[in-house]
Amino acid sequence: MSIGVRRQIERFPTKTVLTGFLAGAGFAILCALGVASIASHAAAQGCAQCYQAAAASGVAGRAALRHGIFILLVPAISLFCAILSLIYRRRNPARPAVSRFP
Amino acid sequence: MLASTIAESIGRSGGANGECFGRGGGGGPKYPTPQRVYVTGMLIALGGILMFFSAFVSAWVVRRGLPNTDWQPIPLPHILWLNTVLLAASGMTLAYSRRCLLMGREADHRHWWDLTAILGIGFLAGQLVAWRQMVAEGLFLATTPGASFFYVFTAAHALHVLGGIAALLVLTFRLPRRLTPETASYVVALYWHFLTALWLLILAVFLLGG
Repeated sequence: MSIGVRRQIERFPTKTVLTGFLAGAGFAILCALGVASIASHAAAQGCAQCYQAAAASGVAGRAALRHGIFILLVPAISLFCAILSLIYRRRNPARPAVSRFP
Repeated sequence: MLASTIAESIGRSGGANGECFGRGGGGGPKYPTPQRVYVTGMLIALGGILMFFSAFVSAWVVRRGLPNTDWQPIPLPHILWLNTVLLAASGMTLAYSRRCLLMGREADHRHWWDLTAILGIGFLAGQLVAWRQMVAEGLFLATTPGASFFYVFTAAHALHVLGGIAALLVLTFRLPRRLTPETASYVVALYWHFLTALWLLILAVFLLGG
């Protein structure tokens, strides 16, 4: 193994990269859950027909719709938080690269 | 060849100083595009795929939860377990292949890389067998809503796996021009591990939800 390759591996050990990735993903999911928890009372019933259909679907139907909306909300907010985090980390182009790749 | 190229790229960029990986140092810009661009692009693509499958899962939850519907649980083919093992094993071989690449063990890297592609093809073949078993049991695309979702989920995932296999094979036979081998393998590994996690999620949905 050449010295350059060995130093490259030492600079970017797999565990460090994985830990950073998992920490970022965990932060994004936590932010998503936090935002989703306060969004339950959002007045999103703009369409009267949709509102009537949801109201007529019964308790189980409304619960299914709530769960469906929540499932859509979590990854969307996670992506928003992840992109926001990415922009913040790379806010200064003159700063030395902190990522694995320049 | 891959290992020598990565060693060359590190050497050219002054890897000992940690200045710049793959951007060219004294020998001119061999890779003019910053390598992290490709990683960022792949992460954004993975975000899109995640939303795509989230929409499916959301539709599945709503359809299953609506009262007075014809929803029936479907019996999952047993071969899905074998397929899961194959996909998980391919993730491990890919990780080991990347490690070999970074350590400069070219022959091992190629061996494990090829094995990853073969395991991926095995996974796809297993999915075909699973569909045939479903058909043999009389569960077609339009038989029940559960069967429809099963076919849509597995087919969409299989198409993405097919893309991953194509990427694996392309890198087997041809070196990328704008990416360092390390970046290329990292981007492919990101995609492949994501697909593995996605498959586990899909399997959990069908196991827990019926």
